[in-house]
Amino acid sequence: MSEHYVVPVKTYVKTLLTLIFLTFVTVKIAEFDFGSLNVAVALFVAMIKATVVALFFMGLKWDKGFNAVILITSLIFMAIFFLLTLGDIETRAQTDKVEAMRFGINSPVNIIGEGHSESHSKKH
Amino acid sequence: MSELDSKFIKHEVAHHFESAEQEFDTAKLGMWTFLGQELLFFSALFVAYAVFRFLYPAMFLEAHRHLSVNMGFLNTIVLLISSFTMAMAIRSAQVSNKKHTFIYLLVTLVCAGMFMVVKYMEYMEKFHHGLLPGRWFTGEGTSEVLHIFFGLYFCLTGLHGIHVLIGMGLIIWLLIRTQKGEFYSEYYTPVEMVGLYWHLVDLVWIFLFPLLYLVG
Repeated sequence: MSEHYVVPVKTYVKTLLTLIFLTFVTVKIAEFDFGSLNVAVALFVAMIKATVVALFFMGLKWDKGFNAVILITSLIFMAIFFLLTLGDIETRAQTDKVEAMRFGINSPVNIIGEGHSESHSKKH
Repeated sequence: MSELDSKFIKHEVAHHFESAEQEFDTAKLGMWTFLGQELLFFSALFVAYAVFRFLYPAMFLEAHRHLSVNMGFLNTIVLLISSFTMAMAIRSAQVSNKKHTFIYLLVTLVCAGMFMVVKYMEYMEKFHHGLLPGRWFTGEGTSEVLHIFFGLYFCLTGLHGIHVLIGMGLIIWLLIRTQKGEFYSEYYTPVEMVGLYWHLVDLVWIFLFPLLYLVG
């Protein structure tokens, strides 16, 4: 077991500082409006952070490749899950309004002011 | 090894393994498989989030203003520091430094506790304003579907919070075993495995923070 690579303290400190820096970036970029790209930009920074955690804190950089294969397989199945579900939702007719009426679902929200409810105004 | 003998309890490799190395690799492979499953487990909620954000973008914009960015930011930093101290605890165990292993684990536990205290304060504030999930929702808003966001918020942060609590239990278990002198350069498998789990908890929060607190 002594042959295991012992990561230098400096590497861990740098990793932590990088992650804290990226957290500041996350908060800062949320103040800018990229329109429909807002989510994409936020997720991009989150993915960089996640990669840094996986490579350095979780040690995948120095680990046996097979552990990374498991992680990547998991991510591929997540992508399938996202793509198929969102593809379905995007191309589906508006059914929620009909269902809400059929089952008599009432919103528990106390509507205040001149609120323009968007609940049934999906943009297509 | 001789000078280590006095300070540490020697680990016996289980009979069905050829070597300590094989035993370690097997545990790690199993742990990664579990973590892969955890990602898929959480992804169900993330997909639900994506679906509702796609359907009601303006509601998400309104809802996220009820969350405090400062609290979320503080918790992100606390978790990142705890991930660092966890990595340091594993490293200390690798170099047979019992005292440092114990201290780093303790700091990790304190950070986890801090995270839960901040989370508790946030939850109490939501309860106070009636921002509860689903049909328990009694809050005010301009969107008819505002309660959906809080359903997602409580499921996502609640499941994550349960993971933090389990992690705290595991760290306490590690602290006890460290104190007994069970972890040293030749055997630190449990520290490494709990470490991996802890980093995953951090990883999930890295995505939760921008998705819930920074919608705008």
